[in-house]
Amino acid sequence: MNDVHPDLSVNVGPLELKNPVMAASGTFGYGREFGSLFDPALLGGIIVKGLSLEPRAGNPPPRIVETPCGMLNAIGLANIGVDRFLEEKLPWLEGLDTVVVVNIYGHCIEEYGEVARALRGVDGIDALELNISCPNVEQGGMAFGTDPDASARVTEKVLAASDKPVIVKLSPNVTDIRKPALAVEKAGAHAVSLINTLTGMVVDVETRRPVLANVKGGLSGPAIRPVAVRMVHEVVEVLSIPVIGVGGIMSGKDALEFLITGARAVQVGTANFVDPRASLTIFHDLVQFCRDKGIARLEDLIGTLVTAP
Amino acid sequence: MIECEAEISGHREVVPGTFLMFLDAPSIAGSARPGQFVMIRAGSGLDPLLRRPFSICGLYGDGAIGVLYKVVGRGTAVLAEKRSGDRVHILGPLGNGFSAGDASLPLLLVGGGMGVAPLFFLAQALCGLGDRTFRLFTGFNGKAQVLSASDILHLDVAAEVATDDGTMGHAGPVTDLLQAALEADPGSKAAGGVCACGPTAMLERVAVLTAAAGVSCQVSLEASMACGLGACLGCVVHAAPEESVSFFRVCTEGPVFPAQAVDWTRAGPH
Repeated sequence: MNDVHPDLSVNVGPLELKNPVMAASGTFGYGREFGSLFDPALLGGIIVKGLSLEPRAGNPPPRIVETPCGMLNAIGLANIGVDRFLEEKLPWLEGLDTVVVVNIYGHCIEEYGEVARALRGVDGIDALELNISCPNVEQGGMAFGTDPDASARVTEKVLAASDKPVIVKLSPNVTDIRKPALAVEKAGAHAVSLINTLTGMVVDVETRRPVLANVKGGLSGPAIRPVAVRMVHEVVEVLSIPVIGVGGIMSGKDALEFLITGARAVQVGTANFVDPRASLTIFHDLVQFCRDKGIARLEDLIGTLVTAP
Repeated sequence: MIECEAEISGHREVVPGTFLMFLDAPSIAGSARPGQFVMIRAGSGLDPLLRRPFSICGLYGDGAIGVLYKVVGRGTAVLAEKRSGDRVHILGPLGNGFSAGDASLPLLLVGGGMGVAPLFFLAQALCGLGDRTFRLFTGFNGKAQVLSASDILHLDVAAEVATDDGTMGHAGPVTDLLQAALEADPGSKAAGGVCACGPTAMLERVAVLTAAAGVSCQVSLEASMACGLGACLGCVVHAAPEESVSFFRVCTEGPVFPAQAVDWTRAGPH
């Protein structure tokens, strides 16, 4: 079977991906940071660091701390703003033969619309991902993601302002993630990605202070993967639009958990920090899995979860 | 910048709790400059998860880099268990390095504790240049913690040592030695610049002394860091108010900064 080239292409609504492995927002910079280590165009897609209309400095340090099998971050959506992104970062991304998704953030619903409008008609951007789930900013972010009505309003605002497919990134910091998922689907979202980070906190027992200057942060890494798989399972059961699975994917096997559960693509996040070539290795793992199992099309594996006794 | 699996070609405890590890990585050694660092993945599993940043303390033999570290947590404890012949994943060389400054004047190198590591590499490079003179000041808690440049670099470098408890060399902070050197040279005609690395309080003092003396100063900073590549934005330090940005990334804009670029009032443990 080793000479067989399995077809790993998948579609996520209107997006055609050459393979289901995408680099998650905030963990892959603007792509170029990793360009000397491997060709990011080998991935199914890149989601760039969350972008707001104006540049944001972000939170004071310390911003990160390692936790068991994970890390807590409170970056605070530091980013260069739309204008500099278009001028300095997009030209390089535009030359990449892969799907480029721009993650966008607003401190109010109107700002989401303004960012979407600023990116309207811009070549080289294949889709927008709405960050309504950042736990590390005072306004916006998770405040929208934990309220189904607000989630829907942000989605509608962006859809009205944009000519691009819209993916909504959902927060796991809710009692029932199906509610915001259904709300954004009804509002017209083309896809959802889940999960963003879980809110957490670490205390330094010597100083009795929170380790992060922001007190709380977002937990990511393999520690959260079972939570993410469970939430993807809950969402695919009730949604018609495609789901992108995110959360603690470190290996091809981890990615397969999400795909079998029903995610049509995956995003690799914290693993990019541990091994800058992790996304590429995960893609290679998927190819090898298909070869070993005699699977000609990865598509055939998606949503094949067996729950019958 | 290279990511590779490097063989540990030597590993020894140089003073209690502090280790010197040699990593066979010709492609990294070949391009590394003093002040640059590597990210080392201590384990192969998921805990500890992230790589740890370490300054390069020197180049050894045919293509090995040296890393000097103290066991302070899980990552370094796992690293300390490694033996010669084991392999670890490393990424580097990362960040900028010290710039040489005015080559006609001697450099003053000031290192505190583990902060001596990048200065040892700088001293090694300066020795290699032959005609470049420098003075190396190192400070430690006590004699038992003193890291000797000649022992670690196998070079005839005589450091001027200070210890907090007075058990070796000058009794007091290493910045006393810098202050004396600067005061003995009014107008700073004999100093081509200061390069410093160590605890934040020490660096702040070095920044004050050099600013008062009108001597240029470069400091190497450390920070918790996830990627080392400028992507995670986790390792930032507050920029001085005159700078055009609020924060610098230690991994990419640093780890070496002009001392006046850093906001020292907000650089310490919060």
